[in-house]
Amino acid sequence: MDVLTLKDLLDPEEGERVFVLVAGREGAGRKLEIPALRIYTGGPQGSSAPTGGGLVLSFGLLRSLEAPDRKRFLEELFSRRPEYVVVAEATGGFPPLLDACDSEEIPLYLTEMGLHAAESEILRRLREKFHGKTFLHGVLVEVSGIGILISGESGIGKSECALELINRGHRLVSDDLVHVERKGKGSLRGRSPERTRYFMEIRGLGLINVKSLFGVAAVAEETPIEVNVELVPWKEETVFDRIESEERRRIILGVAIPLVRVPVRSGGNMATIVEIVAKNRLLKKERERESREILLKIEESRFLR
Amino acid sequence: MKETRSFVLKNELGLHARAAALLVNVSSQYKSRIFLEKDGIRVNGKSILGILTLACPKGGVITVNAEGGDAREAMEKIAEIIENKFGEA
Repeated sequence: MDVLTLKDLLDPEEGERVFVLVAGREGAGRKLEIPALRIYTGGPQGSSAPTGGGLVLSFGLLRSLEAPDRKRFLEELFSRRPEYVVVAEATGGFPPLLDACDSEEIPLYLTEMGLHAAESEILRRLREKFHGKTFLHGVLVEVSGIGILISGESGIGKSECALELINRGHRLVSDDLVHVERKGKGSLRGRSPERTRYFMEIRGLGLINVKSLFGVAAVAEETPIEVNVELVPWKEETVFDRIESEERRRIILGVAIPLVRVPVRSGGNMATIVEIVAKNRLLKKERERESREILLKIEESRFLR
Repeated sequence: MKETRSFVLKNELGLHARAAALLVNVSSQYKSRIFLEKDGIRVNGKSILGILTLACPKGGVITVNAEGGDAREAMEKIAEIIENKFGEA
């Protein structure tokens, strides 16, 4: 996204409306200039407080203000030129603030979320939409050169599956939390958060250091994420692909990657299945490369004639 | 059932390894899905690696989300151990 507006940032996600625009509507289509966020807790803001960006404050704080303090409070609030104001724990409107935001054309949003939950939610969206970065749950491994994100609910055996893959000579990028960044238009890169780099949590063993145990060749600092393998609990009634059917996709940061859902059964070998997914992907890439080459050759021969 | 609460960490070392391990042990006793959130990073409350990446220091605020049938009980227990400073003196 080249230009990010407030509408892009605070509009409903997955149909869930958590921020409601109540005043200063004119400003909602403006370009967001500074991806910063401040929490207003009532004290003096000090000269070090940044100008611009977003401002979050709680409804409780607004309500606690006596009439004489309101004017001073609003002046101070707007002195740092916030690009938008979010009121958390909002159970109603606050007319003086509504009017001030309307006249200054500063969008005002209300949310039922708590102060810190609202702050965290906006920061997450800023990271995703402004910087093209996000965090995903799962294990990222590089299998035969293909970056595969293994996802699935807690305790289903993602780490154990990855450990088996490492044991077979593949590489670990990150366990549990994967730092994902969009590169260019259509590709994703994943790496591990620095603090827990090359560590895995294996139930019964605790934390293990994969780099010390398996050597430098068993780890990679980052890798493109090309496929998502989702481990799902095996259920009698669930219908799974019996023949190679239409390809499922998962959208991450606006980039679609193939999604393969694999039922987990005790005794099944998940690592082998993930290896086959990687080989399939390699084969597909190779076929695409070949057909591109053939087309190129045909083009060339036309010009040579 | 869905429960959300924010906590200020009051223990000296913040969310360090031992505290994280204690939190994971408690979270894992419940069926509910439990997430910890700080600065827009959401991690699984049942996995120690994720919690360690939050690097929450003393005075930092974490938001806990619990979703599921026993979310309330889980939240009460988590609140108890955070407020007891993870058993630190």
